[in-house]
Amino acid sequence: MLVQGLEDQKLCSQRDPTKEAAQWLELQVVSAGHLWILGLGAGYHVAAMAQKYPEHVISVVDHRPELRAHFEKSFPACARQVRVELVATEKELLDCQSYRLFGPALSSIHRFRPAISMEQEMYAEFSKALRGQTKASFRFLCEQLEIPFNEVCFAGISDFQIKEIALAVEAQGPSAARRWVRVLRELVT
Amino acid sequence: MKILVLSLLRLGDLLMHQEILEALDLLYPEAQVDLLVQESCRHATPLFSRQRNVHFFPRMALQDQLVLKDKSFFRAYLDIKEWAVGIQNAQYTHVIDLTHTHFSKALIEALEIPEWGAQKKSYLNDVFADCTRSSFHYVDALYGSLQITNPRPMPQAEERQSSVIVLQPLTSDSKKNWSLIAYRELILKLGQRDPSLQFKVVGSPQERNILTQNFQTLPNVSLEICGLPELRQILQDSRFLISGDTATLHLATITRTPSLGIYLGSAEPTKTAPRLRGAIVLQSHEACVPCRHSSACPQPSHLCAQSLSADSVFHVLVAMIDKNQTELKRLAWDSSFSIFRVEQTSFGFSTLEDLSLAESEFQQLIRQVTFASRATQTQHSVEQLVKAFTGELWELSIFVEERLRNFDRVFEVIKDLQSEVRSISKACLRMDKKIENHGIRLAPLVKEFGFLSEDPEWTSVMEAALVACSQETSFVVYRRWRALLDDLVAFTDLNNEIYLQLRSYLHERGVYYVPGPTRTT
Repeated sequence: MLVQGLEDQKLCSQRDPTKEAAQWLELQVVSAGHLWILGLGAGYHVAAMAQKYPEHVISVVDHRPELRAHFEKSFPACARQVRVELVATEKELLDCQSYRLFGPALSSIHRFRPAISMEQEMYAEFSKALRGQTKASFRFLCEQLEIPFNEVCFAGISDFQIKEIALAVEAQGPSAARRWVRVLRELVT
Repeated sequence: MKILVLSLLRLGDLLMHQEILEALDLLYPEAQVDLLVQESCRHATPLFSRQRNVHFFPRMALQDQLVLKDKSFFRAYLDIKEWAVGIQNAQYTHVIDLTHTHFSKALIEALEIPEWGAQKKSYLNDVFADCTRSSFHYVDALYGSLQITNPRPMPQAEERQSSVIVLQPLTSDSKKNWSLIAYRELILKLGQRDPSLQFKVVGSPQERNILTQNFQTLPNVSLEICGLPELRQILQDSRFLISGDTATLHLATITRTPSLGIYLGSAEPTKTAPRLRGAIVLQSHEACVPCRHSSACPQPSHLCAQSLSADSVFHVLVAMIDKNQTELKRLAWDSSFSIFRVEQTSFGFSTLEDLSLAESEFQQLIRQVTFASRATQTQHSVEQLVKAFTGELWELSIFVEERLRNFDRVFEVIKDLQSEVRSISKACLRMDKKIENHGIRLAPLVKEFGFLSEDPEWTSVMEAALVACSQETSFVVYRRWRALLDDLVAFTDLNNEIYLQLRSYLHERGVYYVPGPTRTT
């Protein structure tokens, strides 16, 4: 056992972390070439994913530097493929290299639940930021994808679901982006 | 000309749309007519009679991206734009929308391809977007919106000597299902009458368990859980199909298999009956029929299904097998449900002949008037109407303007009639038997309508309905009036449109009618 826990928090199965990682991996649907994993934990699940998808780039989000050091020491074979981003806030996430380098919209997002159990709220916020459902991430992605949005509607929106996104984009006036957003809104209404 | 036809509804609709695709092939042989369907309908493409380019829309995958946890809206945005590149590269000159939903409208706008018949959708918008009663079959309404006429006669059900009877007991919506116990009873009764009959119960893989539980033990019954090409072969080799309002019923139109449709819940024969002459459709007389498509059955029990007993459906089927038309009409007269036979009018429209005699005359008169109007619109151009006018163009202009001026008041009178008719419904709910008031209030409106419209046929239809109204206050009277007024609105809309077209035609040729100042003494 490489890591038993951190401050009484169990980071992985105490009995068979490799099997736990394999079971988790079986449930994941990988839909892009770049993978985000929320929570580094003991790193078994990251290593398992790296082994299964050797061609994919993997970015892991965690806020504990000691875990990154432990991961780099324990799984040196993953060094080239896995990038661990140490972030504690949404702003740090948006500013991190992986976020800027790989469009989150084209990424596949994965959560390792046992490893994030103590930081549910923070990782839920990170998940929203990766999906473009927070104000800052919504603005960033709209600018990246050249989707015009209306600042007025934008200011009043707290949680970016498809309806709110459509509202903020459609209020901007006619554009190809607005029309495609409307198609997507009609798909779920 | 490159045309992309959007058929983004379910399988049954896609099968009905095939007729329109084939009509387009015949009417525009030089055109390339391609198709856009849901990814989930991919398995249906081998059924198409002609090889054509088919695009598939990844609806489910996009919806997953939009609603599932850990998926991104922006990913869906990029995916749909990437998907659209294939369509845009094909450089279609026109798009035809047979889907007619907010989604398809948005998709056409985003694809930026000119839409064929975009201006002629008022009837579809008014009638098919809601639960309003329709005078026309869904496919005929689509033909009307495209301003084309089906160049081929509707197919006739073939007589078959086979001993196989196919049953599709389950539909996509539980409120459209007839009970499985009734289907079992029906099979047993048919088997007792003719032991040589073989029964094939068809269904999808998801229905396997429930069908096995209910039908496997019956004699001479086999379960057929199969794909569409196999189902088509089964229908081709069978004598009859008994089904609810399902894709299988519309597939039987393609194979010309004689069919008995059991239309329950929101299934409405006037809109979606099989387009096969000679097919029989049953519909309950319950007041709540047809119910809303999007909501569950509002009744404490499934009344419309209960009103069709296995015994009565058995007798209808026997009359069909024996080709005993007199018996069919007698059953229609005596039953707690309507028996319709699918026919084609001389104008080319699908129509449902109500086999109960008393109802038939009433309905047919309404349909005759409405269809006559539609025929005028589609078969004769405005030029032909002008030629038929014996006077000068300025005289025609005066005539047209006078009629158009009348229409505003005609619509108001119809609204007043509708309001009065709603009061009949309210009186029924209150169990109010003071019936005279309705007739007294409706009579002057009918008179005014007759005066304004100068239409003796409609006036006589309404006068006949007035007589019924003065005899009783009931939901039957209310439904008859409501149906009549729905048809009248459709008819008046069409008539108004013809006069508007005439006005545009005359204006284009510089013929204006300007009313002079009112003379004062």
